[in-house]
Amino acid sequence: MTHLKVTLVQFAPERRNVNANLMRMESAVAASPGADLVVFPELALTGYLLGGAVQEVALPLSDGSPLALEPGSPAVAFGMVERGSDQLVYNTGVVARDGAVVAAHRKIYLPTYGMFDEGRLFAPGRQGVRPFDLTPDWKIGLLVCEDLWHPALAYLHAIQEADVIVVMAAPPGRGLPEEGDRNEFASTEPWELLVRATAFLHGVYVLLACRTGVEGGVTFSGGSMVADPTGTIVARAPEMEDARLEVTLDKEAIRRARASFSHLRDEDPNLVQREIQRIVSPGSEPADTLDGP
Amino acid sequence: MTEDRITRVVVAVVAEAIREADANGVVLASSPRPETALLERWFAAAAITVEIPDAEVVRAVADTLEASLGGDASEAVARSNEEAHRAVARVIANREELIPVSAANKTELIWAERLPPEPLLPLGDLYASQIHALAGACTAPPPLVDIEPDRLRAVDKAIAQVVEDGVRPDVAFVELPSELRDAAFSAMHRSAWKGILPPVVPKLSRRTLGVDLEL
Repeated sequence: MTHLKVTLVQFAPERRNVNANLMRMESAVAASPGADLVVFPELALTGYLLGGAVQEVALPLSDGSPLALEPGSPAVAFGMVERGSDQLVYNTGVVARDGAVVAAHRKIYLPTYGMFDEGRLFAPGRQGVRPFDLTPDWKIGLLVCEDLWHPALAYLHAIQEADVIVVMAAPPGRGLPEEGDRNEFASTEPWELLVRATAFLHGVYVLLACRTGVEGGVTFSGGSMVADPTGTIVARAPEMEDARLEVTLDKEAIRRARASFSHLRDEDPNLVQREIQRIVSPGSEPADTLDGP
Repeated sequence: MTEDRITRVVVAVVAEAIREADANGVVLASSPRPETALLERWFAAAAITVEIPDAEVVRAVADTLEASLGGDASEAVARSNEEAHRAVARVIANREELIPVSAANKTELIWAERLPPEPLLPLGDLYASQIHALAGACTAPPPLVDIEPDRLRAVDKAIAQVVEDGVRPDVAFVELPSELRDAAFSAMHRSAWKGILPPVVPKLSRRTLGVDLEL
C-alpha cells in the first residue's frame, strides 16, 4: 500500500455538546468512503473552552471508540477529553477503527500562559511518544497542538520511523495581519513555519487539522494544512471557514525526500541520549565523552 | 489592516455570544459616537439585531438625574449622558432579551479608571487610532481627547509595544512628549489590576467568580 488517502475535516465543534459533535463527525466520515484516514481537530468531541465542564465531557477509552461507524469505515483521528483509569482527565488525540481505539496520544505540553489555561484543567501526558502502524506500510505519529512547538516530540516520532505526523490542533487566531498578507491572522504564519520545517527536517508528511468557530471572545483560525516530506505545503484550507482537505500521501515521495537529504539517515539518537544524560544528570556521563576540546 | 478581516472576527464573536445567551440581538449601551456608527454598520451587514436607545428618553433620564442629584453629579451626567444611556440600554436589554454592548475601544479601556460593566465589548481589542483608520474618527479618553491623529497613533503605538510586545514602559514611552509620558505611565499603572479577570471579587470561598470559578 504505497498510497494513503487522508481527509482532514476542519469544523467548529459545539462546546460541551458531545452528542451533536459525534453526529457531525460520523456524517463527515460517512462522506469520506474512499479515505484510509479521516482527521479531526483537537477536542473535536467537546469544544475547547470547557472550564469545569471537562469533568462532565470526559470519556474513558476503555469503552472503545465513542464514534458509531459502519464496518469498513476509514480510521478516524480526533481529539477528545479522556478520563484515564487514574480518574484524571487528559487532552487526548485518538485514532479509532471499527469501534476500537487503536492509538492514543495524551497531550504532553499543556499551554498555561497568556490566554491558555490547559494546565489547570488537564493532566499532562506521561506515556511517551509512540508512533503506531495504521497499515503495514504506514506508521503514524500523533501530536496535539502545542506538542508541535516542542521539536523533541516530532524528532522522537521520526527516529521511530514515523511516515506521517498527525497534529490535531485548535489554534486561536491572533494578531491582525499586515496589508497584503496572505493569512487572516498573523498567528497562522508560525504554524506554517513549524509544519514545513518539521516535514522537511524529518522527511515526513505533516498533517495539521485545525478547528474553526468562536468560543467566548476567541476565534479559532482554521487554516488546516498538509506538508509533504520536502516541506512543501500541498494542501491548505481557508481560515475561519469549515472545510475538507483530501490528500493522497505517497510513500515514494518520502523515499525521494530522504534520498535528496540525509537528515534522518544521519541522525544519531545515541549522541542525543548521551548529551541529554549529561545535561539532566551532571557527573553521570561516561569518561570517554569527557575528552576533546 | 483590512476592515473585512476585523469585521469577520468581531461579528462572529458577537453572533456566538447572542447564540450562547439565547438572546435576540444587542443594544448599544454607549452614547452615539464613531464607534457606535461603526458597530451599527457592521451589525446591519451581518443581519444582527441592534437596538439604540431613543435620544429623547435618554435625555429625560439624564434630566431626572440632574434634577435629583444636583451638584457635581449632575455635571457629570450632563457632560456625557453616558450613564443615562447605559441605564436605558439595560432596561431595553431586559425587556427585549438583548445583550448590552459597550463601544469602548482598547485605548479607552487601558486609560480608563474603570472598565465598562457591559458583558460584550466588540471593539475592546482595537486601539483608538485603529478605529480612526476604519471610521475616520474615534473616541479618545482623557487626556487624549483633543490630540492630533498622528500623535494619538504614536501614543497607541507606544502603549501597544508594552501591551502586545512586552517592551518595558520606560523604553516604549521614551519618544513621547513628557506630559503624555507621565500620563501613559499612570494609565499603565492603573491598568495593572485589569489584567485580572474583572470584575474583581474579594476571594472568600473556595471558588470565586473572576478568580478561579470557571462556569
